[in-house]
Amino acid sequence: MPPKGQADLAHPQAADWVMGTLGLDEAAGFQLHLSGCPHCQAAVAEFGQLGQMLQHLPPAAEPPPELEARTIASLLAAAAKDPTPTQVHQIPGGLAPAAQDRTATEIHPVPEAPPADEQSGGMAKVIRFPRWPGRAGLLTAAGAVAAAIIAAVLILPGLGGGHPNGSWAFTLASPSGQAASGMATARPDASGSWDITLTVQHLENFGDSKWYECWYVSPGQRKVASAGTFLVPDSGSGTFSMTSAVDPDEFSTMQIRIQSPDNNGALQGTVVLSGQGKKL
Amino acid sequence: MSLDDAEARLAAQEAQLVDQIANGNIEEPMKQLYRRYEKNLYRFGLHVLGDEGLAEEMVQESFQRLWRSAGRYDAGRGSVGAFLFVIARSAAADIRKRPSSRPMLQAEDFQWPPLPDNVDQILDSLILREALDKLSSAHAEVLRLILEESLTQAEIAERLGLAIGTVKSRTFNGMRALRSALGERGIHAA
Repeated sequence: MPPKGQADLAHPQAADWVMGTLGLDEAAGFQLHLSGCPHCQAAVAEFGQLGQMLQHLPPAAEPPPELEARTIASLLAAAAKDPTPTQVHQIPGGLAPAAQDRTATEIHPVPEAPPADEQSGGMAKVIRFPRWPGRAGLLTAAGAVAAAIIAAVLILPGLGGGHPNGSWAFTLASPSGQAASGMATARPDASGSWDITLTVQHLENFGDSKWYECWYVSPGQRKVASAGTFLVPDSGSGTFSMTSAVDPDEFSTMQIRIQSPDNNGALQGTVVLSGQGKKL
Repeated sequence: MSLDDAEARLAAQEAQLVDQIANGNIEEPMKQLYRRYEKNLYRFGLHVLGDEGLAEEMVQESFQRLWRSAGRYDAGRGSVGAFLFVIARSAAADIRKRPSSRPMLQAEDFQWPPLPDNVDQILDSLILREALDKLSSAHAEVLRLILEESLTQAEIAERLGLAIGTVKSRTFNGMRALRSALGERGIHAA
């Protein structure tokens, strides 16, 4: 064990070593030095573990302010529909509900059995469009066609420069008077895209045979653009995050339509929810 | 009031909030818990999911699961915070399993960041993050350049116009301050 107090006499590269900032060649050279330098050994002994922890820190990011309202709203909507939802199952070798007890239970939402293709623990699937330009994201077969529509009918405004406009809200209701309802907000982000949060209730789960698609529609349907597609779980409720290059200012209406392989990528499916946009 | 007393009092308050949620009083108790944990949950989600939208989804899903499991919470087994981060880790793992969560452009080569093995690692790293945010500006500046820009001591010295020995001293003294802050919370890092 190196004597205490010698770390302050260590070579500066000892700090680089414990923080993982040395290049490969420099690290190899320092390793040779370390074997014969008690000061650097003291520094590594004193700071090595903390250096490892620091290298794996979560980012110093702040959640968006509106996330609280969205979280609480989706929670209250779920609670209104299903007041006694608790379900518990054992997990082998997993985490316990408390730090002091690593052998107990872990809670998953109902329905307990996840879809075979997704294993998503009962959560709704979200298929997101990539941000424009160049944001990574999954583009599904349905999304690819819809993205082509976006490119064909729109001149994308303000790429990379952010939006001068504020957020939009769409209150969605069933045109046929069904119980289904929803709410969507679209807010501009720093990259020039729009972050859409869509919450729906009382929609039918079609499994994998059909899906829902969120459309922007201008008056007279002169312009349409898809914001993304989604599936709902058996509860019929869910909150979905989507990203779109489409500026809601250019469209008056949001529609949620049932899409199937027969009308994939086209504005043809039955409208289950519709609502006018309101600038916030 | 000692730190231990304050934490015990906070833990009791939070356990009461979960009890209220389990009894159907959802909105206000959930808002209080949300405000206490939103930042750390979001940071954890961003860390392990690498995407703001997915992190937001994880936060929402975590509180949904907290509501669903509130009746099963046992304060004798641990804190509400630990319980919530167990849930969050599970939610993050489920989100990562979805094909739709993976970035399109790097589908073949994409690797998720490592998911912590246990909730202690999550809580320790979040406490360390908070401690880092409270460091003096001189110490924090040097550590920020190391952690966010991967600069070496020599590069920091050049960037800030300081002697390299000064940079090293600030690095080590900053780390000592962090270790002290962790020690106050019962976390001991060599």
